[in-house]
Amino acid sequence: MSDDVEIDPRLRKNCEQWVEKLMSQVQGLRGMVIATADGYEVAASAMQGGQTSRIAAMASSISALGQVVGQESALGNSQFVLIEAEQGYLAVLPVHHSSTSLIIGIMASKEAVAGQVLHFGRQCAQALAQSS
Amino acid sequence: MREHKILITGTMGAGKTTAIAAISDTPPISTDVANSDRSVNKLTTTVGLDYGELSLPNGEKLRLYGTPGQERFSFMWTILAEGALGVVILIDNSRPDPLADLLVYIKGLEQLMREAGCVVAVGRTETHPEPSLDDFGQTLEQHGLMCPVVTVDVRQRDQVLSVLDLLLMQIEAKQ
Repeated sequence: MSDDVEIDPRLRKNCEQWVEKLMSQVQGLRGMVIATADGYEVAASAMQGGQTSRIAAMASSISALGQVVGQESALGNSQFVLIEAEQGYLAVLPVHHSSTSLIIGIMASKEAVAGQVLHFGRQCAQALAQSS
Repeated sequence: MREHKILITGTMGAGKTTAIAAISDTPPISTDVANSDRSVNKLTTTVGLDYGELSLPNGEKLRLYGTPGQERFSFMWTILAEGALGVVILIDNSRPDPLADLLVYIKGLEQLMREAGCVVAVGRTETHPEPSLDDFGQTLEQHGLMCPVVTVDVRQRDQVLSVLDLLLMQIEAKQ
């Protein structure tokens, strides 16, 4: 993360704990990143290739595009974006924290159940939104 | 109706979102979010794309795509550059090293700059006259690129339109 990006240490700790929790509890997860809305990584699991910063940036773009598509099509605020690829899924969820807009990116293999990934992603998003 | 895809890129704060908003026929689509980078005095930053449309007097339409400015979103530059007939690179001359900024976009979009029409438009020159337009021209020339370099205030609709007129001339010349 850039030295010029400041995240409340308690919020960062919370994010790290949720990454650890989901990675250990949800079957089939390949990686997880929590980032600022503008794509700076806050917490992440180890990923193949060490590309967490790029995933953070990409997830923020995906989240913002989901948001604007929801608004343009009069469907309302985007709740999540789910990408299904040949070998798994990427779920991107926004976190509406009072001081810092965040996004959650969860990568899962085909072994994972998409609904379960989204369920735990939402749980994480709600918990972080309410955290101090 | 003929439509042309135009890419507008440049550093964070150079005015891409502002430029598109200044000329779009309809309210532009924007993916601005809160800016976390304290080194840049800006409340928001583009993380996806800006999109606007401009109808030309001859009945043709320009589809204007603005990119995120920060280099970590360079994957979006590649995506958005696909099919673009021309690119405007907006430079903020008040930044510490505008020539280095230009090099970032030359590196990221060199193929597009060679094959498509290209204009480099430099802002904030009234308060920051250096580097000069010639300096930018020399940097381009060193990379074998021929693009006009002009000044622009992206808040002024007529100036942004002039940049696009120049770009369209470049596009026509390459066809």
